[in-house]
Amino acid sequence: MPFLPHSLLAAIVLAWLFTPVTTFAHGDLRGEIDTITQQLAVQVDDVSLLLKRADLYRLHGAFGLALADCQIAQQAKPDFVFTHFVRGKIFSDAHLYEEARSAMDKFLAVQKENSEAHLARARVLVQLGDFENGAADYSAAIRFAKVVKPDFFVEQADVWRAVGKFETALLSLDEGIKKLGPIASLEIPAIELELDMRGYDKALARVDLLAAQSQRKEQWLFRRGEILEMAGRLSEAKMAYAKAAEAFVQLPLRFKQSESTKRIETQLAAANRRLETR
Amino acid sequence: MKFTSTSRKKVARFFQGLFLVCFPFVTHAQPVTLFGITNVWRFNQTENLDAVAWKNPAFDDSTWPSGAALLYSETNALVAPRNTPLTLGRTTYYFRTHFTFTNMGNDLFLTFSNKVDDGAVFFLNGAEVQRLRMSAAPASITYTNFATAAPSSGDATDWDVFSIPATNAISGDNVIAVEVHQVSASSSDIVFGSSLSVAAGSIIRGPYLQMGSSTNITVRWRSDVPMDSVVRFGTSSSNLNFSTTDVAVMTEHEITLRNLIPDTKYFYSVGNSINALAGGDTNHWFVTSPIPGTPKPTRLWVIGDAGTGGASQTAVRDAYYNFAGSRPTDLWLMLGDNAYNTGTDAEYQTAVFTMYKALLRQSVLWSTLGNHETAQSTAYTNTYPYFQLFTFPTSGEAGGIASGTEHYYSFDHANIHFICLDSMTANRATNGAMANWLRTDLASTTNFWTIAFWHHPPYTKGSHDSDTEIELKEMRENFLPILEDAGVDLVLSGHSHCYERSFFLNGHYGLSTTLTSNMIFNANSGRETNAAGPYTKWASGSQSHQGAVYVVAGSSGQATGGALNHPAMFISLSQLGSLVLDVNGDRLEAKFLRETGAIDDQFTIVKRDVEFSSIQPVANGVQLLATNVAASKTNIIQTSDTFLNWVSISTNVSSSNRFQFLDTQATNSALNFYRILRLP
Repeated sequence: MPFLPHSLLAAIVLAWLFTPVTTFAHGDLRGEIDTITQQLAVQVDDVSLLLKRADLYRLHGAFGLALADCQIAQQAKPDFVFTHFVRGKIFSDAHLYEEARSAMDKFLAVQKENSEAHLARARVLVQLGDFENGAADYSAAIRFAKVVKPDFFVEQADVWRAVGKFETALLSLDEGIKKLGPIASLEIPAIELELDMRGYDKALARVDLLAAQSQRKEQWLFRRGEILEMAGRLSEAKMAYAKAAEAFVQLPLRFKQSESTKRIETQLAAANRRLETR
Repeated sequence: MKFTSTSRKKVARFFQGLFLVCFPFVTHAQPVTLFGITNVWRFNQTENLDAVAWKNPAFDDSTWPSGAALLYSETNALVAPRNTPLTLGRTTYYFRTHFTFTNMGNDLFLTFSNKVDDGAVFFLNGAEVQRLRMSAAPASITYTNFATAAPSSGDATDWDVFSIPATNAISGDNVIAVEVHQVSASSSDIVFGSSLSVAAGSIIRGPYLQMGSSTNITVRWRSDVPMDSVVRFGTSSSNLNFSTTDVAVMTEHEITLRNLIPDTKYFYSVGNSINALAGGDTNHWFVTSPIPGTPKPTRLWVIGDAGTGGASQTAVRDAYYNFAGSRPTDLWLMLGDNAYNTGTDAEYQTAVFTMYKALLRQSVLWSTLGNHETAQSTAYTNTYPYFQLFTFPTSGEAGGIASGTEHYYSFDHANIHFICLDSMTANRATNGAMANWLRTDLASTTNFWTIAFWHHPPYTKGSHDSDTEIELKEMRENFLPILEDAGVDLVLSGHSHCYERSFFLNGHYGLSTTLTSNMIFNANSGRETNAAGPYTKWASGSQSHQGAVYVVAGSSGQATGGALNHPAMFISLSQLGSLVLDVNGDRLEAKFLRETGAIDDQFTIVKRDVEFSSIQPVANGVQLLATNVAASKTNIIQTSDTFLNWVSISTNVSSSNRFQFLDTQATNSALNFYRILRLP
């Protein structure tokens, strides 16, 4: 067993004490770990194998073993910065976010354009409540990613929204929309943000973009009505609700009675009753 | 002369002289070196040759000094091998060399691998063939023009590689002339060297078909040397009267054919602007999808965890080929772990592109990401080879709602809506981007059937356990409610190396111990040969929570057992095999095809409305036979003699898809009407 500093051991023990024990594992990891262990019996100081096993241990929730592999890797090749990144991910999964940030800082000080590491540190910083720097890391992750994913923008927008910076959050989503197109997973939270800022016309424009992509329009017609009602444009809201009701009538029976359509139909009926009294 | 692969014989007889390289015969798909990076060049670093025909083959360069490459003025030790010093101070440097072809092929490509700092223009026999970091043609280049950029790393540490058709080369002596330009007057270095090889371009992967829709299809292939890309196609194999071209020179070729006619058979070839290198025969064809929503008999082949690359995988494949015979496969699905052990390009070559070469060129392949595609990594990136090898929709190109990512997507084929999810690396939370996209996609589709697939099965007790593994648990808990609410019919997964097929299920989102009888809508086999008949869903009634079948088809490359006792399963087998699906209008038939050719399981789902298949007066009343009954659903038989006032005479919950009822009250009535109602 390689030497571990007392503080590190204490931290690991603390992490385990305060981390909910999961009974769920990732499949196939055990076999992969065994395979690499056999390879390491021959290639004792192969740093890439050690770090690969450390990452697999991390996924398996065996954080102590994972850190031990990192320790051996660092002793074998002190200048190999990827060790810091793997260690950072281990600490992050163990909910030791300060330690995770420290390790990731060391890695990113050298590997400044590693998108995956920026994304990982962003999540760590958010856990630490450092939203500004977390959001900056999301931006870096996006900037350096060869292929961006919707999730990057959604997560970044969530950070800004959490601190009340709705406009900035919207800018994040719009950057994603600019790169990926008007996809639902970005437009839907963008609509919510528009409504947070009372940007009703902009929200309606986004709804229309989603409706244009959809073969079935009923949910988006209803959403139009909701937004118009929020905006106090009641006559337009009534018209939108009427169109939504018409779309529901025309909807083949086989698409009705799902939880989602029933919920909208119920809300539509309530909206109509509500508007009748106004 | 055109060389065929069978006639090519490697002949390495060539020699290199001071200025003469002789290449007598190109006979092999592997590139043959004409001259290496240390080739000797004549060079001029003292004159402005704008007014001189120095590029022409006949130009006399005998007064120029000569030296081996790299020719350089450079201090960076990483730029190597440095052989002949040059003197800084010029904007442009000139270089010439000769090589000889003694035998020409008409499908040959010359590949230049260069070290250039900063920019250059290349000429072959007096004709310009390439610019590197110089203003694009037709801008003229003179002595005073600077390069547009320095090498990407600052110095000539990396190779600049390009290929050109050897059409400008002649039999006999050939001359290459190169002018190298500085990026600025203050540039601190100059480097030039080049090696040249020749190869008969050939295809080393594919062609394979991706992202097929009713109007578009993507054709991909890999060539051994960089070249441009051309797909020639038409509705007759003898008349490929259309073509689509990408002039960019590359080895990974990807061409999307657009504005095709739906439900139409096209023949095609792939190659370059000079030649077709594969196809143009009756073996290379595809059929475009019907217009979405249009029913058409559709054959799918489904394989999971196939990529072992060995005899087991081959046996499963051959069993399907034998089973299919001349019946075309309209599309096929890979359920992940397509190439063991870590989904590298080389592993894919063996386990996918070589293994399924015949099918890949005729049927569109769709796939989902497995844990071996990522080498067990859960990082949500596109850096895995899988994403370089395949082309999947991100913008709803083949139907469905745009997802913005190839990790998860949907598409339509005929009257089937397919949904592919990423259970390995994407966010599996109910409020994550994938779940939000899925809800929107399902709320948009109007197709008749919905089939979803991903790698980690929601129910399994095979080589994996859905009660203990996080990906399986989260997919079950978070995604099945969304899918079942929208009326999913069939869910396909792999991961466990076995075949497991569920009852007709609904609402089972917990551990296996939480399965209750009311979650099993139909506990029968779903086999038409069985008296209980197929699983039945309404055709016109709500599809929501009407039952679905869950299949683990992860034994297409190995069968590794397990407890095989998940209570949701009608059948669990540790046998090699694949799944064959035939969807025809309102019928979906599935068969588990063993590697032996035997069919060890089959089931059918039909979507029809309940009806009376016979109404027979008998001695003591009227005998009614109701069919297309959905098991576990309440059916009410009503009668009326006026067609206005209906009276319920029977309430039935059947365990099969049919039931009988004898109306004894009908004896004395002259005229009876009957109707049957089904409750949701």
